Amino acid sequence: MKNYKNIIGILFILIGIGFSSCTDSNISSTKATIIIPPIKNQSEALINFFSQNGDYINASESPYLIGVEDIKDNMANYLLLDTRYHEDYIKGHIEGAINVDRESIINFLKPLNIYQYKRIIIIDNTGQGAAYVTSILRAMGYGNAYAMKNGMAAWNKEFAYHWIDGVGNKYPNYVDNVMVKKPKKGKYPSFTTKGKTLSEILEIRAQKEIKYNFSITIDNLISNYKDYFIINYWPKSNYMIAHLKGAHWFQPKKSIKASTDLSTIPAKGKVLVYCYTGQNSSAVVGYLRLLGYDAYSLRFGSNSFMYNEAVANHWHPFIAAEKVHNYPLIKGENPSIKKSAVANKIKNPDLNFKHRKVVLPDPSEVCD
Amino acid sequence: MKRYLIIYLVGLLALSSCNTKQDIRFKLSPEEAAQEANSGSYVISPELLGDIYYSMDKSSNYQFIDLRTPLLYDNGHLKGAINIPFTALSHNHNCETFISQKHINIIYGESTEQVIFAGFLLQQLGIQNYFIILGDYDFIENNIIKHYNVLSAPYNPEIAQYNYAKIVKETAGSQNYSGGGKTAKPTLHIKRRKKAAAGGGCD
Amino acid sequence: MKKIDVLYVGIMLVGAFWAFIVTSNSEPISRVTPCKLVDIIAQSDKYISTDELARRLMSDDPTLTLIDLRNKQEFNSYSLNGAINIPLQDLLNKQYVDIINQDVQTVIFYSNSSDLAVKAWMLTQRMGYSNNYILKGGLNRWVETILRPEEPSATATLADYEKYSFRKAASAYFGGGSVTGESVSKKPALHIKRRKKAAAGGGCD
Repeated sequence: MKNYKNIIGILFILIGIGFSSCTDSNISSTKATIIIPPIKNQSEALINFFSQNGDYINASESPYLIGVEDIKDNMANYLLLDTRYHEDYIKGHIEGAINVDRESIINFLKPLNIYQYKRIIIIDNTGQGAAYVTSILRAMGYGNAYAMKNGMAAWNKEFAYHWIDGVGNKYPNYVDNVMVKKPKKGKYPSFTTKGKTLSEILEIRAQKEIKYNFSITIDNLISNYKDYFIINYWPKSNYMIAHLKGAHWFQPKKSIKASTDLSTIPAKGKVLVYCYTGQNSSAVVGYLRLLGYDAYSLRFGSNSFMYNEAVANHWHPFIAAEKVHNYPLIKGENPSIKKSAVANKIKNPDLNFKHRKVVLPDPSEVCD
Repeated sequence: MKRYLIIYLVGLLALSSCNTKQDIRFKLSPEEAAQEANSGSYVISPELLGDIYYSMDKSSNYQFIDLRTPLLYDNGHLKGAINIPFTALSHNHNCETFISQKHINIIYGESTEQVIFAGFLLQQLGIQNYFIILGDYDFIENNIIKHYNVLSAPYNPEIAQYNYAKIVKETAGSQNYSGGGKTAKPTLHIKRRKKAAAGGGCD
Repeated sequence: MKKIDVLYVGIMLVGAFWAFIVTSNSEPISRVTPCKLVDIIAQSDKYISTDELARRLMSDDPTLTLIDLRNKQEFNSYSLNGAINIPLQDLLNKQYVDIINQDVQTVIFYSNSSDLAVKAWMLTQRMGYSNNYILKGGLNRWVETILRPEEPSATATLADYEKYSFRKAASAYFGGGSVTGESVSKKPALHIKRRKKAAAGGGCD
């Protein structure tokens, strides 16, 4: 009898322990920090990154130009950024366009809540600088950036001279149709920035290159002709008709890739890219400069040295009667009170993310 | 002796039932959870996700968790992600991985809502070493992997993306709604018998 | 003998009491466990789309209760018509129980995105309330789909066009601008398809 009670008592105690041990399994959790491994070979990482994520410069929509007609129709949904000199801006600009120079455009965009604009439109005089800026912004992750095709010259005849003065037929001696052999593959350029992660590297590269004076005139090219590795960036059939003497044919949207001909471009020395109007080549040059190439674009492309042939072959000649519109201009200092106010007030949602500490090791520490 | 046996069995049952039962319990009561709901979701921005994704390394201390169905997972998922379907989350083994403290879990799913469910659940369990990625997998695929649109893609954290009052004002319409000022007007909340299943719901 | 009996009974009682204390410390059994909650989330009908909400608001559905979960300031600057403001952290205050624990009224939670609404819904499920819904996408999607509907592309299906024309009508219903004022410069609601002169981008210039 005594034993019996004894056991019951022990059992109850056991049950108690059982219950308590089973509720005791509270999960103890502490805040942790993500460790992002540092990017070791930055230039190679950038090339790999571009080839992995669709390679915007070789995408079908490249070079991301948008006609003035479209802009006229959809102005309300677009963020218009005018990158011309302030004097020119005062002389006349599109209603709602905000004057931001190339140098400060990245910092201007950063705090904005960009996606509520259907597109960011970059405006300049001829469309070439805009294509360059657009290319760099695209690389940084602004997937809705576009350049206004042919620039303000196409918007209003008051500015058409920017383009009209750019066309010409000098230097017939420099045009031929001899196929140049494809150069051998070589190395990629290399660079190191203080950036620790991809986005930081991209931003540092972009900030550095976006203000670069990347385009040269045909006169300038001719006087230093030997210094340049010349890339002809249009279809082969047209290359066989005429191109700059000694220019290498690179297939548009196919050749500037790690998997194809990118490494045949010399990593050291000047590289010149040209196309019909200078806009596509500007975009390509933006891409190449980010990768560390010393690349330049030929201003106004083939329009600048073989205009008559461009007209005869329909190679995108700039014909004022076709391209220039007479859309309204706003004159004066006051930009777009309405739109700039909106743009400046809305903050980027990123600022509200509560990121727990993310550790980004200093590259200097891990460098070997 | 019979009584002794019965009690013994009852005791065993109690012990065993306790062992097979899920040990996972909420750390926060609903009231506490409501208090902390605003402060506790750890959202990764697309830009940071890009940085993580493009520096993927085996030495990293995080683990992607894909909450979608196995079928969707098989069709494509983030490099290195493991699949724990949301519907099977409560299965014992999944539960363990889900609340595991070995890695920092970075969770994504088929919709923003699903991921917030998972994140808030972890928060209520008292787990702290996790991050969530808003948007669905398509968002990640289209704006980080296939194209790098991290700065312009419409990511959706809980913040007003628009100036609503202004937009309503600008939208031509009949309501002539003048913005705020409305105080919580008492509505009818007399409990009546349910008439019919309420509509809504669109999964 | 008797004393020992009393001792054992005492020990038994203490043991039982201990077990009781320890178990009742955590979640009461009547409430939902985490695993059960996951099942509830996975299995229930929990969303209402912005289109559906617009439809019901336009038909003046009296069984609708809208709960705005944002803070007072945001609520005051804009809220959906007839919404009640209950900031998420106050959701489970006793004063609001009658509003959110409903059978008859369909309670719809919304915030700027789905974030707060999802959390609110989850809390109500833990409390065992029913007939609550989440406005999927929140006010941000409300703007994108109802106030500023996007015109379907030329290749869109008939259903897309129907949805678009509904949204256009809803936009006119919920818009606050006076019809005679600002809207003059706006494009007409019915959009006539035009050929686009120049497609954006593309081309090898």
